[in-house]
Amino acid sequence: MSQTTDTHDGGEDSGGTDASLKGWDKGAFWYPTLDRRGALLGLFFVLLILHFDEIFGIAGSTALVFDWLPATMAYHIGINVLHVAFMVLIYLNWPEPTDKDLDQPGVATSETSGEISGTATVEGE
Amino acid sequence: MAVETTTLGVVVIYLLAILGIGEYARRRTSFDPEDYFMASRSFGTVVLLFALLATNMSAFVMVGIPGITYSLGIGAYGWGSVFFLTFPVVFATVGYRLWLTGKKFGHVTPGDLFDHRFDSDHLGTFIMLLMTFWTVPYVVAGAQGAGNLFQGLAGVPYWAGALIVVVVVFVYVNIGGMRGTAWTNTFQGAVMIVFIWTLLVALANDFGGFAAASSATLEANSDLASRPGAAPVYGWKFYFSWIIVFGINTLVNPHMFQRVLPGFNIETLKRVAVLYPIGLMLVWIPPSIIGFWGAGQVSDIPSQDLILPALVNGNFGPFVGGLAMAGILAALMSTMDGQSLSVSNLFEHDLVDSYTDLKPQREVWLARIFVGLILAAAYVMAYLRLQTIVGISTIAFTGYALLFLPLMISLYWRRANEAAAWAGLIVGFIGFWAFEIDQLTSLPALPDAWTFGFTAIVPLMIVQIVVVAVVPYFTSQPPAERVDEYFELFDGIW
Repeated sequence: MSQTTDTHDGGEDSGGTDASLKGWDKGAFWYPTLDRRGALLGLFFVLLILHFDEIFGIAGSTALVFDWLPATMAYHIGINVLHVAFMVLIYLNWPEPTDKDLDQPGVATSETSGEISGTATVEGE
Repeated sequence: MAVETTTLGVVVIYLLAILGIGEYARRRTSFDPEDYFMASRSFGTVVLLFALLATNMSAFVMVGIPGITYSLGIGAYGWGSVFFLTFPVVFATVGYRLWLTGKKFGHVTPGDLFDHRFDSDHLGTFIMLLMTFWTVPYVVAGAQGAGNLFQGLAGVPYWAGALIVVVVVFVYVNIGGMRGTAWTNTFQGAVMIVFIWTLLVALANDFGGFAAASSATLEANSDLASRPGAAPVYGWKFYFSWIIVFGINTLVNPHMFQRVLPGFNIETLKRVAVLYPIGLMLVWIPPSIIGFWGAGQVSDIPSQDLILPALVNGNFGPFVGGLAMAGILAALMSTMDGQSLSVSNLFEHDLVDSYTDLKPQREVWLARIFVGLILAAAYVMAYLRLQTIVGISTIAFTGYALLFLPLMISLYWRRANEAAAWAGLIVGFIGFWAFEIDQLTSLPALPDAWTFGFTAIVPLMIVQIVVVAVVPYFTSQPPAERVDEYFELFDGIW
């Protein structure tokens, strides 16, 4: 179990600034922006809204598509196909980490990783 | 119903195959905790995909979903299918950051992440206790599903069927560890998908075709083809509530969390994110339709959870019944094994290793005993049958969902501190039982009106958000050096 260290006091300079402790990570997928990442986030919410099939009057339908598939289910399967397409966009826009050493199997690279009980630096295969 | 020996024979062969895979894994597994619990971080795309899919596809999908499409209608598919978007996106974003922390800092458990990020001594242990608590009902669902299957398809008493599966899971989890469960999950995932699609086509053939099967259901109750369906359950507030629960609970299941941490490469992670919704469609579509069709074929069963066994029994012979059981057991057991192994890892790592000086091999032995205790507790609760499979699974899902916000702030908000994590976790747990306590005791619960028509997750998360947002401004700030370490790691990552 990691040891408790002295906590940083916001008014003092102790290796990290007060500014470093503020704020939501603006680079996060979940932080709205006007770039490509923001477009993906927007598209994600559009797909969520499409989940509410009453928007298109599908919800109350008892119709059958191809004579057997309930229209509500057919609609949601169609939305699921859009989900797959969206994940392809995610795949194509996936950000790489700046530390390329991380993309190795089974290797912990942090000096502080040994603080975690029972897990000294792991040997890769 | 008399014991059906042919059906049992097929199932015994299947269970022996599973034990054989577990034994093969045992020969390749050391009892070093890293290898036993993490398979030395050695999964490729296929094994990881099936490990995630099979662990996630449980009695809830294979027994519970047919049950609710049978009783409430096909709207259940729409209810659940939002999960095919939300979880892969959460996996690709929050899960990616989790993966990075596992690679950088060597995290093995959620407790490692919380303790390290927040420089805490005991937060990880608390997380372990909560995750274990919410995992028990999820394991119960599997045992309950198994009992229903053995009773409905093989004529074996419910209590014995549940016990058989619990014992088999205990054995192969103990002998094979993570490698054993991953390999059995791969096998079980393939079995599950092949079986459920074969059953769909076979039932359609028996019912006179796809069109005839659906028409029979419409004749019995046309409301089942629509949303909200046979009962006013699937309104927009219910949908909205479950967008939240389905989206965020899955990653915080300990067995899912831990499968993100192993050291496969980024390309594997990316491929799994794309393939996962495809896998989910393959697994969810057939049972949803089968339950829907069941309403046109079967009108009187003691529990909605018995619809799939009833359809198989009513339309096929014992050999097919055995195959059906094997396919469904594949789903149940693949979740039970992942859950029980993961919480035993949490127990070993976040409790035993943190507070004792036992040798690692001794710790693994204690963890194995803990697996037995979890499965025993689940068996007792399954024996009591307090809820339907969907009912008890949704308790687990909601409980897990209330662990997500502390995870989120640890990875996305620099200001987040240990006090905020503690407060969020405690508020979530107490709040849940404030709404649900009357299900287990005679104590009064909070009024349903306080949910404003949503499920309890909505007001609870609103309170959680307020609490975790406010607490850091009245408590000690996290160590800046540690925060910098994490957010430098996330530089350029979404």
